[in-house]
Amino acid sequence: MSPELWQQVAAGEDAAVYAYGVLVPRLPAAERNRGIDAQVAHSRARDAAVAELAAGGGEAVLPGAFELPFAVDGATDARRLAAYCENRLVNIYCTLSPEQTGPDRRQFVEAARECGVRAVGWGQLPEAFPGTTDPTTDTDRGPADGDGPAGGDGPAGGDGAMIQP
Amino acid sequence: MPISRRTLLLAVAGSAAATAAGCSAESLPVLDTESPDDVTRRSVAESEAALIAAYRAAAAETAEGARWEFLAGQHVQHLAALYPGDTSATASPSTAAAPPGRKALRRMEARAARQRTDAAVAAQDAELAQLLARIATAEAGHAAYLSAAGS
Repeated sequence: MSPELWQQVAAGEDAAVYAYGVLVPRLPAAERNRGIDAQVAHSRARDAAVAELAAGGGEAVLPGAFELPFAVDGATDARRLAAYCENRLVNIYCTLSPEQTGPDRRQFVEAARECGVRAVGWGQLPEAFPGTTDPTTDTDRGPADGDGPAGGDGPAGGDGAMIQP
Repeated sequence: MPISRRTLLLAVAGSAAATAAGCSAESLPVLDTESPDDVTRRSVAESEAALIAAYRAAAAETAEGARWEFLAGQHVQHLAALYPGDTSATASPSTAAAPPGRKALRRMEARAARQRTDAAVAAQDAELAQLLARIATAEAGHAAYLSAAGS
């Protein structure tokens, strides 16, 4: 896979690490360990992507700080930001997976699955084609019975901006 | 594409119970002209049709009909994406022998996610590979949703 593609993975994972750093303190105490576990997983994935880049003679560009797509004022925003980051990574891994073959492609698909499962765990309703919609603007995604895993979908606000350096 | 979705769904409707139980539908016609990707596409479509049938059966029997219809609708979208442009068929009818419960549905989704992962790895066409990666992710998400919802 080309250095540009590994750079996308490294940058996406780095953005998630940053976002979890912001959002974990806003989570209820009972959910913080789950947030920390996710942050550790993204940190490892970022480091692995950086190592792939380095093995090919490249160097990852990681700004380390990012502009968030919306303000994170409480637990609902925190879960929404977590789902947002996971979705971005689902899109990155799914889009890039055909560039890989064999075990490397499997690793990308499994990474997408793990991110997708975490997004649902943070209260996002399942989607038919994960990663293809912007969770900050999509407000009509499921049955109105209101007893989903964590609720909290249908955010107001959110300008749809990606996480940017 | 040597086999229409209507043909497929009619065949699947007749063997939905077996397919839902995890067996491959051996009675389906296998055409010599099929490429490996054609076989993958057909196999995934069979599994999607079985999932739709399972959810429809569950929706008819439980108080969680809206939720099951919501998830069934996503599998309908998967089926449509596998055969874009083919509007000759609608979703298969509900033919499962007994309506599955939440745990059985979760197991079906988890198995489907693993099978879609294998299919994504095997796919030769890049567009198909990406579609299968997204379907694998969707079905892993469905399984997680079924684990969390109502627990």
